[in-house]
Amino acid sequence: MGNIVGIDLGTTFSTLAILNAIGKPEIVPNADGERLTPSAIFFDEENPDVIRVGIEAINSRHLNAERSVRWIKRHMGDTDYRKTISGKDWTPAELSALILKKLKEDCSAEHGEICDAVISVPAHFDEVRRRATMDAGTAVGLNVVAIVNEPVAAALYYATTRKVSGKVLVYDLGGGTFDVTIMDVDGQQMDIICSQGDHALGGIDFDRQILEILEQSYRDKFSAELLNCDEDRARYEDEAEDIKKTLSRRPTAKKMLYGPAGSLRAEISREMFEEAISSLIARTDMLVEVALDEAGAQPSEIDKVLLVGGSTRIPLIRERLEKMFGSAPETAVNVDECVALGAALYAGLTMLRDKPDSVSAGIASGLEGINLTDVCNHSYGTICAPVDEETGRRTVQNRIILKKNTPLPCEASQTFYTTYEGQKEVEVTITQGEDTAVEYVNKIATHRFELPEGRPPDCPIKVTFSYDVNQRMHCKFEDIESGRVLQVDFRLDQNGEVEEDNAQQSTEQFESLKVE
Amino acid sequence: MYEWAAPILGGAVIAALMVLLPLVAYSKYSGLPLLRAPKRFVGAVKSWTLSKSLNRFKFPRNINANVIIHKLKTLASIVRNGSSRLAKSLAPDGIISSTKSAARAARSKFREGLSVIRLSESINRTKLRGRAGAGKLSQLLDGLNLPRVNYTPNGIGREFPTKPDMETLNCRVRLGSHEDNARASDIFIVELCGSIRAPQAMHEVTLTVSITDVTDGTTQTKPVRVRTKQWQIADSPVFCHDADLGALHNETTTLADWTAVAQLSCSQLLLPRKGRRNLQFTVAILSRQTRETLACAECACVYHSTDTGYIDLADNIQRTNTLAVGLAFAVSAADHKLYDCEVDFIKSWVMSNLDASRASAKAERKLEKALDKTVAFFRTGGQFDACRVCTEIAQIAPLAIRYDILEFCLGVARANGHVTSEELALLRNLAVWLELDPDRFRAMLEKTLPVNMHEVQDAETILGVAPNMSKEETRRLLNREYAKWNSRVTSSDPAVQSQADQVLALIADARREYVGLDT
Repeated sequence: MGNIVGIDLGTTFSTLAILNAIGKPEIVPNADGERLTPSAIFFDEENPDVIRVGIEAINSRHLNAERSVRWIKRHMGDTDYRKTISGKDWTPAELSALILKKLKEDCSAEHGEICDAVISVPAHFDEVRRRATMDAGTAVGLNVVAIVNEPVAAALYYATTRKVSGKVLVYDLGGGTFDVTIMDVDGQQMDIICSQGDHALGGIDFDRQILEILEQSYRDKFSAELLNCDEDRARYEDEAEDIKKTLSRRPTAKKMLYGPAGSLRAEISREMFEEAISSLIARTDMLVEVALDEAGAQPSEIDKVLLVGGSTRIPLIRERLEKMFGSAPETAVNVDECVALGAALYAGLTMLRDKPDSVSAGIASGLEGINLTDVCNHSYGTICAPVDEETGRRTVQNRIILKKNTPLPCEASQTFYTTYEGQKEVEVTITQGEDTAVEYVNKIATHRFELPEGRPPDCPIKVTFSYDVNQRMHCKFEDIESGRVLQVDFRLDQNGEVEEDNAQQSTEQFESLKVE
Repeated sequence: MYEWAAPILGGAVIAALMVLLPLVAYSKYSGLPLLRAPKRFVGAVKSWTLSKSLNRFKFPRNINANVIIHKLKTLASIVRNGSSRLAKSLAPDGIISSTKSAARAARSKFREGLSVIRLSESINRTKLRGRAGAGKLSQLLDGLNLPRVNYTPNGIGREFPTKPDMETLNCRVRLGSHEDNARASDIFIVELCGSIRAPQAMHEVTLTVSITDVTDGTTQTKPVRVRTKQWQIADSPVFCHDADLGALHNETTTLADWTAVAQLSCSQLLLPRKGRRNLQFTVAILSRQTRETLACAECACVYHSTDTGYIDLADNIQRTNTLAVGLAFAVSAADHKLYDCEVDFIKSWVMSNLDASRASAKAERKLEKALDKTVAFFRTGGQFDACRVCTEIAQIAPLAIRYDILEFCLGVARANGHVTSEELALLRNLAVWLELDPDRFRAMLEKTLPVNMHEVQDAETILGVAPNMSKEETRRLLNREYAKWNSRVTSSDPAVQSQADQVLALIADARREYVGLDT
């Protein structure tokens, strides 16, 4: 029986945890002995056969920023993003695959072959980003059995290691993303109530605020720019991160700035930092309030606030949460590691459910009794053209069928009608998004549904969407009168034969790459 | 007269606009919005279950058939005299016609909701039972009251002053009301009595009902239109109700008493004009095979329509479009700059909406001239009372048209790539004056004028934060906006993504500024 692992593929750091013989998750240090691996990649010009991932890539970035990549998670699912290195275009999924390859190889070197893995993603990631993440894992030979939401993974680990019950709010502020999840915990039974996320709010945004302060200070003093090339920017981005970390421990941080016009001793106080990030903090406040509204809960009804992610070390954030909820947030769990640890547990649970024979008795016994009910991460719907009651005109709009935060497994149906006489077909579109305006939702699939000829308008078509615990979505379009049915099934790792061929090709390509 | 228009309205500008814009309106609205809402209409306009009514028609056992027949004869002679006078005074324009598709649709609906019992069977049974029994005529008529329909005491379809001639077909129309989604709406209840003669027994027949507006006299009759395509004649919006009635068992079939054959929802009908209308109903029984008229009856009635008529609409649209062009120029000139691209946008709107094939070259030139004069007026700082114009539009134009006008004005504002605070303020006022829903306006604004087009990007203009809002109200508003835009930020459309990013940043700043971090 192979190893079961959970991977936290983070914006700034990535971590891998493995389920030990008794079903307890453990962090696997990388080849450098570090428990966290920086999510950074460097394509060495002098040694093109080797791709550097981790701390070495961070250091090399200061020397050649053009051949380095960081924060790739922010671009996941962006079909336009490409990093061109020596004439090859790398997609976000391919670059993420390099990080996963490093984690996998370092773990395999110590624990042997990895079979099954779960990769964590922010709760707000849409289908495209989830699929891209899964593709990245598949490309490096991982059997990605599921994708788990980061706050869910963290809460899973938290609930299985501590005695907790009641409503728990998981506050996950990582390097690049921010998620809030509210859940009901009763022993080892965990029911997710809702999740909310902000794709562009995390540690790197705080770093950027500090960098702006440094740039402004230099400008004020010398009337010159501190950053004149990508390497300067890379170096001072890392300096800014250091300053942020210092300010989480001390009231002031000092740094020497070496620019083209001269050097400057910059001093940044915690107040300056807090003022600079106040808009971002306002954003975190709003997200928490929106999540509370969605859960129909008052702050006083939250029994525990669980902090996850390195950015929760910022004192202002803890202060604000304490003020909002009336009690100090829970910080006992290691904020950097709990997502990977929880992902490993989730992987074990998924394997136990889907392939119980491939799970060792020890692991099965360790996971016994843990039960998690997840929810639909987004709303799914279809595009229709109802008559607007106010104007009397037909308007094209998105009609939500499966609502966000519906507990899994779930199913919902709605009946639509053909619009004109003799309508021969319907274009059925499956959408993801919360808006009724079609401009603001993502169309994840479009099919043509053929109908019998020569019929009057107003023939009913029943649309049923269901979502199972394996994150497989089923869509059924049924012409009630004729009984004709169109079924569309989605799974994050299934995109048709052609894509599977591509995945195979991609796996072979990654096998030949050397990552250190 | 409006201030700005004083030098122009009386001159070439408005004259040309008034002459040519009707074509715009006509081309766009001659068909009138065809509301495909048959879901509701299925129940509203349905062929009345003739058989159902007849079966419910219980005759008292002690009825004296001779008395009934005598009374019917007397009534028939009066009706015959009255009907011929009526027929002379009215000139139906032959709108009773049908198409295969309309008939098929009607049949389909008829079968869907109602069980068709053969007409002749029911009629014969009624006739026999009627003759065998006894009772007062009024009781018999009362027995035909339709279920779920309330008659209005002073409605149309007054009782015939004389008895109907039972040798021919007679019709009358009564006004009832119908509850549709908890809203009461008027319905015309068409009733028949008398005889139908078929070429032979077991002849299959259909029923058609058409309506003509004869308010302006017999020489100027106007058809009544219908919103639902299913009840229209071919590709025209003219109303014609067509229903399959099955086979007549005998050569002569007599409806002994008034029998409801159709219920027509007034809300689905489009009369030529609003107000008191004289309507002529023509009911015909046609051979299904040959489409030959076997029996035909007409009756007149008066109906007070509260809906704007289609001729009113066409007139109003002419006026509305002229005023809309004025509003568009006002938006364009709100920032005291009339950009060429904005003017071009307005001109192109006018031209593209104008049915060029119907407008003469001379008329087009006239229109061009009128537009140029209007441009000159605004370029020289002419004042325009947009509020008054909007008030007029709100009175004469339906909601959908008002939204079109606002969309046109939004298009003008975005023509030069950015929108000034003055333009935005006027647009906001237009939405209020045109009595449009503020949330809809906001949604239109978001789509047409994305945040990066706004010259001034502040919470008041973009997010709708008002100075008089309390901290809590502002907090709620911003949370709502945040939730909305945060779900859009992962859009696959880069333009939407970028807009969402910008608005989220704006919301965060607004939260810090208006709500603070001390909540």
